Amino acid sequence: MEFGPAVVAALAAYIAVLAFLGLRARAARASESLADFYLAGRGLGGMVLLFTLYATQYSGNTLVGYPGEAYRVGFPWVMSVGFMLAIVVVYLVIAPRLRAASERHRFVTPADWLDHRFGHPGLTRVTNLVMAAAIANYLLAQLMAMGHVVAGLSDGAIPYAAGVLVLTAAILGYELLGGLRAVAWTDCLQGILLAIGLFGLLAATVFSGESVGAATAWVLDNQPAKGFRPDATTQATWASTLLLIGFSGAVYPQAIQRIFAARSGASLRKALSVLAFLPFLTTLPVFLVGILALPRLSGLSGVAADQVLPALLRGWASESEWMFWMCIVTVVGVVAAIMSTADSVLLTLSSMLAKDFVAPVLRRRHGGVVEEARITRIGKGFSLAIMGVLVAIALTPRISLWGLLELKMELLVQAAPVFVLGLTWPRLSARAALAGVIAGTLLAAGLTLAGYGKIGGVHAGLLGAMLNAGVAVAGSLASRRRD
Amino acid sequence: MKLRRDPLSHPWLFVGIAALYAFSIPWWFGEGRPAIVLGLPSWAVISLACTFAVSCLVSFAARRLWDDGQD
Repeated sequence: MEFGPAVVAALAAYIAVLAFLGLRARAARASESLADFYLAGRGLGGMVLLFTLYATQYSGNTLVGYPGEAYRVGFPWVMSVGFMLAIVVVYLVIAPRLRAASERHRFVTPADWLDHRFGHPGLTRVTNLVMAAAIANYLLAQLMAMGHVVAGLSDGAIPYAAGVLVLTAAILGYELLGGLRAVAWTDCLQGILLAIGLFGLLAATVFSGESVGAATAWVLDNQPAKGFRPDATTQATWASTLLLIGFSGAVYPQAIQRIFAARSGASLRKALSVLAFLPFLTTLPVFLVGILALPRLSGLSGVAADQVLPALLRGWASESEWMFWMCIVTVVGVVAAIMSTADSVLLTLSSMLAKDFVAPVLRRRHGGVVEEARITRIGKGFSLAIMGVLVAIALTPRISLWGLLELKMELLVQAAPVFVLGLTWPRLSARAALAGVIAGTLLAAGLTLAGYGKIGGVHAGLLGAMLNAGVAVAGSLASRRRD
Repeated sequence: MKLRRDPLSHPWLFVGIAALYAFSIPWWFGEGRPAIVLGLPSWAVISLACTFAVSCLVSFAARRLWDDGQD
């Protein structure tokens, strides 16, 4: 059997299992309430929670973008292990207090906590807008990754556009049927496939006879800038990336919703204690794949570097029958990783639009009461509309996946000071926090659009977040003094 | 539900994590060709070791320094 048709058959079987899980999740629903659809009835236990956090956090960017980045940057990309862990470090700061508050006040979206903590509609709306814009960008990155990956890995048997359209339809299918319950259950399958896929990658590496030591020696001899100690600017970027990804990754609205959806504090604690080690089982092998590609492939840059993983897999698959099937499993694992992130982002985005933006308008019109089932239906409509718009954009890719990820983080990190300071510093005032978010977002977006994505190696988003936090703290102290 | 213990009430934890992260960036490493250890440049191996220590601290804190009275 040829590689391309085998990939098509494996993906078809995988999509059939996803559809089955979607139907089972629909049968398991208790009501049409927002908590049942968007938080799986607040019943996610330790294992499901771990898999859904894992599958949501590790995405198409991790598996397709990161080998390309390791290929471009070289050994300094070992920072990717640290920055994925930094997200869990920031969880340690915000999750205990957020979880305790959500048990008392039954939050559904991050905006519910913002309303509870600050009671300032302007701050809630602006922070929500920043987060929604960031994760819409993130979702777009996942859709593009789906297209690139199936086109590259199926040897062109599935064209880019067909990959985007078919997998988008699959996600919409099970998500509209079963909400977060379907997403979390499929995340379990996707997490397992991702783990098997990574095992497959490692096995393929070992059985292909390629040695990391030999690749390292080749890099030191032929491309020393990628193997010697990184220069001062790269070190600054390393530190900046740790902070940028740590703070922005922890305030992904979909991650915050999983804190609300946990069955208990104990299940959340257990999930996070295991999640802390998963960068070593996920990001590290992916980094090594990029390093192995350095002596094997040459001349790739920009968008083409995102094809590093597909190129390696195709090469390994031709070496033996065992390697062929291991590579097929890896392909499905990669597609699963992308879909599991896309479905979570889509669900969260539709819940934010329906509950935080449309529901308040409906309540004003209808004298304060709107059925939750109606808001859930509106959310499903948003899911369809969002995917329609983003698919249209995804069919004209222009920039590499890592570029997209950075633009998303630049925005998302502007929500971090509101959550981190709001949970840890009682004196933070709503007006100062709002001024901080606006100042930080304008600085980050302005610098990025003006072509200054990094200054001295430090990301524009982090500079914006520092201004954001500074304005929030100074404003809160000043208003306190005035009072 | 009330938090009985919170990782934030243990500043040493975050000082330790910050110090390990600071050493995971190889600013302290000399210039020139690094030795290859476990198949990787030596500075990358030390960086990974520091990061693994952070993983252990985070996992410990999630299990032992966070108590909301639920088992």
